Amino acid sequence: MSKHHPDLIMCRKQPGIAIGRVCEKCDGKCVICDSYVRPVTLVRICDECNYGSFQGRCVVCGSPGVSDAYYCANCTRGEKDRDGCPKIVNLGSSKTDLFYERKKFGFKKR
Amino acid sequence: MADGKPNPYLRTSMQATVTRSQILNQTRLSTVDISAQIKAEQEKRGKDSSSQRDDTRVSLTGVGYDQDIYGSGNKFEGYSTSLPMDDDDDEEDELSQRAAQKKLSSYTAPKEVYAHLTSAEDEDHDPFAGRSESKRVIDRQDDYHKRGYNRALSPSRQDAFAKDHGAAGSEARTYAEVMREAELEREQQRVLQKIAEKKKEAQKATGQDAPPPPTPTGRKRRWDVATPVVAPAATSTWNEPDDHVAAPTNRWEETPKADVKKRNRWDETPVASNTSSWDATPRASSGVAETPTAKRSRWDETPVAPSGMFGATPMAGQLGMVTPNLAVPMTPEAMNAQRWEHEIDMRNRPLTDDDLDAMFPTTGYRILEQPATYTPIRTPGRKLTATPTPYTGNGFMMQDENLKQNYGIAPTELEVPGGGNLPFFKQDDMQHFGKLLDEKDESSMSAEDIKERKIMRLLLKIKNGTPAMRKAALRTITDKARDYGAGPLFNQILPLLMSPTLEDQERHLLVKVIDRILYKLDDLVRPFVHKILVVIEPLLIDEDYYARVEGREIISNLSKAAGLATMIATMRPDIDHADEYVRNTTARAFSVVASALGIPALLPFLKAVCNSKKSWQARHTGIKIVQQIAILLGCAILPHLKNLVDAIAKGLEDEQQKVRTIASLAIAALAEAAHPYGIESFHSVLKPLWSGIKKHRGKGLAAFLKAIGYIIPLMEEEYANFYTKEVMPILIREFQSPDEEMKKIVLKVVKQCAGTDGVSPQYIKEEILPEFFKNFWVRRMALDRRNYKQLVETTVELAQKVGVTEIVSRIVEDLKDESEPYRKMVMETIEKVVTQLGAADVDGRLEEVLIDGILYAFQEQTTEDIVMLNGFGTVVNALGYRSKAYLPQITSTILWRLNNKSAKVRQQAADLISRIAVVMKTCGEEKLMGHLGLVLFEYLGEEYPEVLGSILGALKAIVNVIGMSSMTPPIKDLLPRLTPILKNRHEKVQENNIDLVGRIADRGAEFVSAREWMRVCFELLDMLKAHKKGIRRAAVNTFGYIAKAIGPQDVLATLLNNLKVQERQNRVCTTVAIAIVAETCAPFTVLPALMNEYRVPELNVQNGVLKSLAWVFEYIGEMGKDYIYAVTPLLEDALMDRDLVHRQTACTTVKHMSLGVVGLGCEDALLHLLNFVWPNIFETSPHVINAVMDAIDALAVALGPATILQYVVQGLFHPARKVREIYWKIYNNMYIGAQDGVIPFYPSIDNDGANRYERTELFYVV
Repeated sequence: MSKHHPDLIMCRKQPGIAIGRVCEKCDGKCVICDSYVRPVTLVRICDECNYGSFQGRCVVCGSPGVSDAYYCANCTRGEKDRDGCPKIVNLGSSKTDLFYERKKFGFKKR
Repeated sequence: MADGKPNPYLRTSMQATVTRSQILNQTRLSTVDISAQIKAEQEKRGKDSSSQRDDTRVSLTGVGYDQDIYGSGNKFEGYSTSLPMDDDDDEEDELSQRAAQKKLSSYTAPKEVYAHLTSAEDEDHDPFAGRSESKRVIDRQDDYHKRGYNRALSPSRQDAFAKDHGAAGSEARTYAEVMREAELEREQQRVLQKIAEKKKEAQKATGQDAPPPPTPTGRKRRWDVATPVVAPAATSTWNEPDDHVAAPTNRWEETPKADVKKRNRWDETPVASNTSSWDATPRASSGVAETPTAKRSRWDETPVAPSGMFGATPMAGQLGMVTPNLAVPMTPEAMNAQRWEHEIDMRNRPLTDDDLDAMFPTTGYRILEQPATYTPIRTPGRKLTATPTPYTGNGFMMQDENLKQNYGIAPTELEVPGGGNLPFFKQDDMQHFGKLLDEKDESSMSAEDIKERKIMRLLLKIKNGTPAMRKAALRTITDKARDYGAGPLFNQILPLLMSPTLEDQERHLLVKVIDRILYKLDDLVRPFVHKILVVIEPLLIDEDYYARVEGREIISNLSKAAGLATMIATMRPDIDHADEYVRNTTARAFSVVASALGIPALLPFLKAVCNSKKSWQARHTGIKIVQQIAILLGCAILPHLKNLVDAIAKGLEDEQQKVRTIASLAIAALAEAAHPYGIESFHSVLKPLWSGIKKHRGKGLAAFLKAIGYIIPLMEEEYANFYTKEVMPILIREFQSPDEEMKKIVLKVVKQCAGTDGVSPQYIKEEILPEFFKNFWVRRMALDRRNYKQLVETTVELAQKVGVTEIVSRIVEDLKDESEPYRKMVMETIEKVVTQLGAADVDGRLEEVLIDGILYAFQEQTTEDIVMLNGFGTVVNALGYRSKAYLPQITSTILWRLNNKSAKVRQQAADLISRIAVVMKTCGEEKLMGHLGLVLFEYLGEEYPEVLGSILGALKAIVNVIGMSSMTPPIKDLLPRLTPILKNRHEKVQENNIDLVGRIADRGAEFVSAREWMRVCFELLDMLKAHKKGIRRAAVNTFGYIAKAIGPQDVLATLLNNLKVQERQNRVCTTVAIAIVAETCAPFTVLPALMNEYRVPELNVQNGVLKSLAWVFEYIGEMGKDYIYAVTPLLEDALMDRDLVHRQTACTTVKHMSLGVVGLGCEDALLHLLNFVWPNIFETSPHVINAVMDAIDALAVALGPATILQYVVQGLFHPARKVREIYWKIYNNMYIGAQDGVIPFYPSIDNDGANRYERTELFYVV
């Protein structure tokens, strides 16, 4: 996701034992490069990103997670899996803009 | 009709029209006449018929016949004797309601809709009226949130760190001044309160009740007295786990003084007229009638006294003055106020005699004569006080806007000079942006004015512009932020944000502007920190999650830019502010500061505040800050837990009840955040908590219980056991409490206690369960969402201890309860319990009752909810083989319901099939499934897409379970039936269908002819346009399966042709499909054709080919080593192409290629490609440069960092900074990834005197 939305910020703290999850929409994606090809390394996230209501949430978009998150083979090869906790910690302008755009027209919240 | 003869049909239809229009539009005079006539006619007829009914004799006018033959009964019996004229609406409603009760709502436009359409099609009716109202932020806020508007933007503060102290302007105040002022204000509050109390007492003493005292609880709405705004559920939120927001009605939170402070503006007594200047109606009278004792607006004391409302903005006039300075445009509040004034005036106008006649019955009332002593008010002075209207009372009014008013024509588009065409320009915008329209010559203006107008124009574009304009303006304002300076920017943005006419999106956009310029301005913001906080803090308690996050982000950036010292100095005066709202928001803002700058930095301050001797408000706020920190940061507080607990420990024994309460809540929040660690930090507070539980009642008790409840799970086993036993009697006593808050807390504590190891199941069974079920499992609990959730959670937790049977047997009967929400709650609990614990525990009898109840609940549901379906599926799956006995019954129910008239029922039946398919297989009911398959196949003609989607899903589930070969109907019949459905554009249908087709292509392709598969292929190309990503992915995967089944040639030809289409998404999907085909059918079958396609001299096609190559190499990974040499010439060409996208895509290809072949001996080709990639490092387009950097990173992995280092050292010390920057960037990337690999290849430099460069040890190795 962060590949296509450069304003998203990853947590990048030291990962703990908690396993990152992804939601139905992001299922199968590499958390770094969004590739669907050959998921290899299990994603670990830091304790704070797994705390409380964040537990079991999608690493990429924050909706309820359904399966484990993975790094793809190419990111593993490039050692992108060792850069720290990959949980996205902000909302991103496209998401907030969309929310308010929808709200303006009175659509129901998604 | 031409001959003038009335056509009977025409006439009836005309009558019908008349009737309807009479119903529709009763306001029209003509219709009223007609309807009156009709009514009269009807009444006459009714009388006739009633006389007819009564009269049993043969009459001349009536029909005479033999009663012996025809019976003596009335032939009109059972019929309606007249057509209803006015009331058919009601009847229709009732009918449709009855229908809705009987069955589920279906997809045909139901009768309600028709009724609605016919009844609502009034010409004056605006269907969007309801919508447009709720857009403004202020309209959805309740009183508490509106208090934010009471705060004024204070003048700038001095920047203590600035070298030149006059920087922020002469009016900038120091910390000492602000503190003094706050102190003064508190003192004033105190005095005023005393005066008010005295007055009250005096009133009581004299027994007078002439001036109505201000209502003690809950002020009236200031903004709309007539129409109540729907306030969000005003539940108290002090115990909310997360950042939900404190609501106003909370009795605990409210300061004792708060009630007295805000007064209703309709009050007649001008006693303590300390209403804030933000009040809705600026009263001219207040200026006149002000008594010396009355409190002045606190901003009057500031040096910029003339501008009463916007201390900071010089543009506002003095609205409170008798002669307003009308040269400046009105502020939005004034506009609003005036609007209201007009309306109120209309409503409050004296009633004429006619009006009174219309209101009262003609009889029974008498008009009295006025007493002889009565004299109307004639003194103008008193008149002025009597009607507090600012403008109209003065007799003249010269509005600026009138010059620009576009009389009646909606100002949809407006040309702002130099601003381009804006999509809209609202009347409210005039307040802030009116200046732009005065068409003055800019050349004659001062530089300051020009700057101001520039900023104004940009802000207007951001607020009202099209997305493109907005983006450009946002970028300009960000880039030039430092040129414009903090003062001019904030002086315009902040008043805009305070404006009550602001809409959600506008607020978001302006907040975004602040966020962007904060980065740029950095420490220049210091003088404006307080102003920004005043504007942003209300966001922290907004009902929108997004707004809260936005607010947090801004405050965190602000604290990083301004620094801790400034933040503390700015917010300190607000900590013991008289208004609870201010303290609440300040506490939240402080917690954000703590998260941004770290808890340790803030700890000394927190300790000091929590132990403040001066005021309990400060202690309260300090403890609240700790609570908010715990909520916001979660487990990140653990390192500082001891310190935080010690800071607030004293609060538990404070003399103020509120402080004790908030302290125990803060302890609860800390314990929750620390779970499961940190019990040792809480040792010091256990005793006060324990004694607190014994001492308190009501709300205080709830808070202490909560704290204990959160600490118990942290304890060791035997301690937990002990404390649970001790606290349980209190809990059980409180089971009966009618208080909702208490209920929730008790449920929560029971859950936590039951979850600890030390509590025995026996104890729970005997002591807790009976009371628990008696008090909590009642219908009322199902109605409130939060109670519902908490109850389900607690029950599930109890079930963990005592087992499935114990819980399920107690509630299973309730599956047949008459209240649907309650049934739902029961079902959800059963589902959760069974999911967690399985159904092995359930005995035969219970099993029967359970299935029976579930079937009943499933069939009786009227609202479509996933709960019932999930519950059904979970229970049946958990029972597994044991459900065999019930399957025939379930299947027959499903079949029956598949045939139902209502679409929702059919859909649910189909959904249920997909849930229980696996169990049916386990039970060996293949025959039953085959039958179901056939039935579903027949229902493929279903016209409702939602239902069709579910049917396809059910078919898929059956196919998955019983396999391709034994499927009935056979696959060769099924697939041709599915192909046309691929054309369906509904997402659910598409998704389920493509899944099914893909499954067949994957597993059973041989059952279908190649020709049919090609047909599917063509349909699939359209699928690539789908909005939903899942559908597109399924489609490209299906291409792979089909290519595998029928060979790649035909499929590939189709796909390559598709590269020529215009749509980008379509092309991208096609490239993915090509890559998948290449992967499934080996690359050599695809690459020649693909590379040949590159010769087509068309940009899109070539890019498509390159993109396909990138995907191919990503998919095939290591296999790529055989193909590198084949594609290298093509990539060479692409990397030298003029087109940026060519080079970008080629770089991506190189990246995937090189990562795939690491260590496989293709270094020569890669090095060759690196030489082509390298010159692109100076590209500036973000996409291209990203792709290039990725390629270089990947090549560093494949070729080793040494090679890249050789390239990099060439430019590391280049004289041009732009060159150096990118080289250093590459070097840094490499240093992070392969530091050790680079070191041996550093160039050797001779030692020099100042810095030695010896590397002797390394030379051993080299």
